[in-house]
Amino acid sequence: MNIRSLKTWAWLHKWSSLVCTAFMLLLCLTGLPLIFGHEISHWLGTEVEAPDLPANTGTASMDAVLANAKALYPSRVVQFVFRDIDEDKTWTVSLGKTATSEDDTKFVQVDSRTAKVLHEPKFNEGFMYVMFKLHVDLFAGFAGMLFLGFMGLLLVIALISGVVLYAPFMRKLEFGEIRKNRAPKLKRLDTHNFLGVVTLIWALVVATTGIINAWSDLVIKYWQFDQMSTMTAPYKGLPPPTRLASLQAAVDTAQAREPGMRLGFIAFPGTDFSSPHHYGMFMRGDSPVTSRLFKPVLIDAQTAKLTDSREVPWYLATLLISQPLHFGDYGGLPLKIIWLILDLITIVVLWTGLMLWWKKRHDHLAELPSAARHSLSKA
Amino acid sequence: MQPKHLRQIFLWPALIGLLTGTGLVIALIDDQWLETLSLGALGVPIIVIFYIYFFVNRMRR
Repeated sequence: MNIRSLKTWAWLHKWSSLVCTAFMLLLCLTGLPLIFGHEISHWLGTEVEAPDLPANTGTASMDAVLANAKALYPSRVVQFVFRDIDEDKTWTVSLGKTATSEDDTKFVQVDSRTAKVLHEPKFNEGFMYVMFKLHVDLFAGFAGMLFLGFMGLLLVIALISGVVLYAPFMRKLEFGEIRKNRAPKLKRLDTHNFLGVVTLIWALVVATTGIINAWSDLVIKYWQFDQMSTMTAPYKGLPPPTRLASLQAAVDTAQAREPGMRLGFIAFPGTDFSSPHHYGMFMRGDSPVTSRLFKPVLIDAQTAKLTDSREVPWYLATLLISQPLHFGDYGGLPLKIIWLILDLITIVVLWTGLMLWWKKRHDHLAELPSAARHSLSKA
Repeated sequence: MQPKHLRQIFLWPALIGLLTGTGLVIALIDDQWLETLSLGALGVPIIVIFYIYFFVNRMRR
């Protein structure tokens, strides 16, 4: 590589990383508790477990689950009924001021076997909520998401330019060699290069999937425009139903359509994941991949009959598959611990990179007066 | 020390990257024995870091 292209790559590495470093440090730090979100919520007492019941206990009707949740907030509109991927004993019902309102949503967790109300989780307050918002959108909504997505893009550029610069620095060094007994800046440089190159692929995957997630709102909007509108075209212009059919009957219809899948969440009529006329039933498969790829089954909310069901399109599949690869939540506690360690190592890479720049700049500034003196004496 | 070729410089990073990439993907496909294999593959960069940073570099001194 000639000097000129080396300088270009060095410039690219310096500026792409400098601009995003502060935000990347924030993302790495807020990401740490998010990896263990479940464990921390449990520990803080903001999450409750459903009681153990005899194995032959049946499941309650979804109508009873819904009625008991609604009884707590009769003036509210049900938005979603959902459960976590590994949860099978409870359903959580979200109730908003309207079908699409996002502020002051109430959540009610109901036992799916007895329909008893267990708990009212507060997903929109507390420590984990602050961590989540800082990580996802900096409390700035859609603009914040896109901004962090752009920072992620800068990180990808920094990673790629870092690989290009790795070679000239390593020509006379063994792999992993850290010059600990030389100047501190050499130790810092070697540590930055070594930790950076070993965690490169993980960092690239987490950065890329983070960028994809930053676009999730737009991807979902496009899916509604592309697929939902054609699936619900026959209902266009019709008045919304005044009385909704039994939720259990609608669930049974969806289950009959996809007998090999299990229900992941229900979007109520009027929400972003359904139409004013439909229950959107989102079904999961049972393998690690298909359990992430929700298959939508639209059920007429007035008659509980099937309207349509389609495979998820490639762009939505990409978004859904990128989520576990970003969260590290698909291999139990061992994978979470690996995510934690790699996250901590990334913090070291970011910090040593920042220090390399800072010290160099500091040294440069310290040299300035003498250089100025030198040029003055010459004059 | 003779200057190293690109192939020598990137041999270990490429092997570790390949293991990490494989590990990340195969845990998505299967949650039985492939998942265990994937955790092993993903553990490699961490083991390499701790082994080289704390052990090999101490020997080099």
